[in-house]
Amino acid sequence: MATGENQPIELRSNIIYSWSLLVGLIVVVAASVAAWFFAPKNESRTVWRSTLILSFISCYLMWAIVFLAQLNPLIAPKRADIRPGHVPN
Amino acid sequence: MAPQDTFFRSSDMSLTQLYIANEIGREVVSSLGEIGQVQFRDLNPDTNAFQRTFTKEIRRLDNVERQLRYFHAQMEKAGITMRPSNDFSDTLAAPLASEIDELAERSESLEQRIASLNDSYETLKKREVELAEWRWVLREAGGFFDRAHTQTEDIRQSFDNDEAPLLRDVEQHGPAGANGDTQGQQSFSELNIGFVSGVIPRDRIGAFERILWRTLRGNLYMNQSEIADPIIDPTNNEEIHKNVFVIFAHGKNILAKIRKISESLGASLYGVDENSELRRDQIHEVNTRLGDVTNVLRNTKSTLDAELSQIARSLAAWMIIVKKEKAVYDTLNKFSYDQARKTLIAEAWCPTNSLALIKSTLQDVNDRAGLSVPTIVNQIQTNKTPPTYVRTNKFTEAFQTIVNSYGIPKYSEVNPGIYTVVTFPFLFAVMFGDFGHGFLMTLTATALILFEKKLARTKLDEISSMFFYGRYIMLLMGIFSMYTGFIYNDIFSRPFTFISSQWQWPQDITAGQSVEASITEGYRFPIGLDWNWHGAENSLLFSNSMKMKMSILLGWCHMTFALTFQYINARHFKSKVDLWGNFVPSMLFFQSIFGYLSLTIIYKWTINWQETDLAPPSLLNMLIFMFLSPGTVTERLYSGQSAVQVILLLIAVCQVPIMLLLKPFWLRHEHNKSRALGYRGLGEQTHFSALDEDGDANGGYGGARDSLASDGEGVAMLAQDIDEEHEEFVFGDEMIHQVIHTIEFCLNCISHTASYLRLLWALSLAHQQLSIVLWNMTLGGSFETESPVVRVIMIVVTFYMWFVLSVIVLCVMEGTSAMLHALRLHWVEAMSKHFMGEGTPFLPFSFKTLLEEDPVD
Repeated sequence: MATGENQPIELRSNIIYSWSLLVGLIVVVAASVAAWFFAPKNESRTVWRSTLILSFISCYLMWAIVFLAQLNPLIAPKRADIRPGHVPN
Repeated sequence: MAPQDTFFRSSDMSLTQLYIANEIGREVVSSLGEIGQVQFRDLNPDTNAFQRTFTKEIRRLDNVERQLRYFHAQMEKAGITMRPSNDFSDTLAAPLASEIDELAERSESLEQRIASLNDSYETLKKREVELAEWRWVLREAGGFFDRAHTQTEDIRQSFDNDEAPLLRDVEQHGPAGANGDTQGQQSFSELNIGFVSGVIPRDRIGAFERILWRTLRGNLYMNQSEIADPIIDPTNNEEIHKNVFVIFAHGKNILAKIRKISESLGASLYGVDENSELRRDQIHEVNTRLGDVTNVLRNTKSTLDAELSQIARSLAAWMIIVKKEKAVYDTLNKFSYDQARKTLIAEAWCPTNSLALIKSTLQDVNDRAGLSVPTIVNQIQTNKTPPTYVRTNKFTEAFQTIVNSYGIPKYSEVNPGIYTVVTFPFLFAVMFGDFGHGFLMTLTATALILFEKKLARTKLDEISSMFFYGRYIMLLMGIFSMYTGFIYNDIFSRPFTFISSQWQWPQDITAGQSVEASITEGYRFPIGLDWNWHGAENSLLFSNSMKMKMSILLGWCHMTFALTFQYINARHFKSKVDLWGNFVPSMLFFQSIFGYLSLTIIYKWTINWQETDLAPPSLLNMLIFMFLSPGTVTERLYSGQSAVQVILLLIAVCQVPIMLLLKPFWLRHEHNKSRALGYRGLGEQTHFSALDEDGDANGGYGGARDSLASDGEGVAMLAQDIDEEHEEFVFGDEMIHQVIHTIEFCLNCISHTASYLRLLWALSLAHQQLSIVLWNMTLGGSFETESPVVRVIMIVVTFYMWFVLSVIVLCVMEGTSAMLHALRLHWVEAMSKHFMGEGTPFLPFSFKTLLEEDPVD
């Protein structure tokens, strides 16, 4: 537990990260709208639209979930096999 | 005009009546078969196959088909390959009736020719075998005789002692003319001994010997030798090993007996001359005859082969023509015939959007035939449920098969195929996530797609054709696996390290020291799982927690999405009762429990627990205590939590009686209201009006339907047997149905969420751990070998091991398992939320599917 002094700073920084989720959402919505309008105008139009939009949403969900899970990690990685001079970074 | 057919719902169907002039019936059906958009209804279901109009034509075609199959069998026997059918299938035009007659005649005469050639070939072959056997007998028996002659002296002595002189005159003539000895050699005839020679299959020789010994009580001298080469039986082309035998015996009757026994045991007897001179002539003669027979045989064979290869060039085309023609007559048999107007009447389902195409095709056929009477296409209003027809293309076809193998969608309900296209490969990828394995899969699928035209023409075995059929599924699975692999940061179990990590290790480390990384302030790993978790001791702790939560979130999204289709269906079928009695309570129940759980998962992630004074609560315990002790919160997540949870629980509990009771009582109310207004079901109406003879009012509606169907004759009956799926409202049934549905839904909400958790998390964990183990045991280990030479060799060897095992175990086996689980998540977890699946498939009369289902070669 950290002191209450730097709490507002941390919270603010987390809010800043959360913006990236919103930016991602906007990108996905924009891509979906584009897919809706630019889908080829033939009999497979519905398939184009649904496939592209669902794909965008699925991929966004996956990314957002993994991003959120690492936003405030409760544990940190631990290793005992690092050789001196070969610290991975 | 109906709305455009999409993948979202099955196509609008129309029941149509076709009035076809009798003369062009065959041409019309044939052209409709080429389009493949019409499903004919059988209008003579009570007539059996033999009483139908075109039975004669079908019999005739059956005969032609039999002849063609005979040619095919002969070709296979002769080892001649047929020209493949896909050389023709695009170019074959519908044949004229005269062409069919011609074909029938031609195959008739060809059959006779082939049969006669075959017969003479077989006779000659038999003759050849006989001659060859005779030659063997001559050769082998000659040996016996030569050996026997040196011993005649001994034999004679034994005979001279007893009855030999008495029998001399009687036994003078042996079977093969025995009195020609001019060389001063001792002849057997002088000893009154006759002999029988021939060949017998080797496996019968034991029985043969025993029988002879018993019947003749040992009065014989048998000599035999094996024929080295097997003899080929011309009737069935099997190799038989045979023995030559010569039996010497005493007395005419005994010889006749021997002959009978040998013939009954399947031996063939051949005459051999005792005299070596004559025998030489015999051998010579046999050889000449054998040469002649072989020559004739060769000529016959080449004529037969020439004839067959001539047929082979067009046999596939003929088979296709005959098959189509037979299908046409089978279809014509479904039509009813109007004697008075000389027209055929057909009733058929077809997609409303294809009506224009059908009409123009029929017009074309009419024009070509030069008929003034047009073919009439009538749309009929009906309350029959049309068959379900989802238009697919090569991309969606395999996905639709996934849905159809669970159930055919009900007519015009939302087709689950629309989301299966994405969610199936995506959920697969969540379980299969590895960039490298996904890449291999994508490569395979891309190759299959690039060469799809070539591959579609070649004949594939069962497994590869399955891969080929699912090539677009595989492509999407591969692409999504690459994406999820990138997010999991796994490429063949190794991490990508090109994005800088959010974790930092302390710089001064002594060997073997256990250290913990610290988080970088103001930076978070932008995409995917941080690669520093790879190789960390506690990496499973983190990734398990993340993947489990991800599984629940993805499962919640998938199920909520699927549940929304219930709303779309309710709106489409204009069923308010399903909307308020099923969809709304289901959605509220599901969201107030699992929607809330998903929300708390996300909320917990957004809180920086290090900065607060609270311990991070366990969400699983929270959910359990929400049910067990509503109103008390042991580990606080947010303020006002207990009130929110109580309200949500109340909402969820309230939905159960609504779901349970609203629909049955609503339906009963509607039913009673319409009854009170004097409405009756269509079936019931006819029950009261059309009831003439059987005045039994309690006879049930089934009886009414029967009388209606039997009343309807000819044209009148076509669309009139209306009420086959009209069901009477029974409150008890409806109530039981709804009780089952409610219990099932509430329990399934829990078990289905658990399924997503179990499958998505456990399979992705298993896949990742397996790839790590494989890496460490093969390639990873060989990098750590001390000696450089050994290391090089080890790397090469273990690389191949690693690659082959990666493909077999991780891609094929793990891929299959992940695919099966993705299938299950769709069929059980997602589709059960909205899918009715009571449809009947649309099975159009189509030459294309006919030839696909039953290929000619």
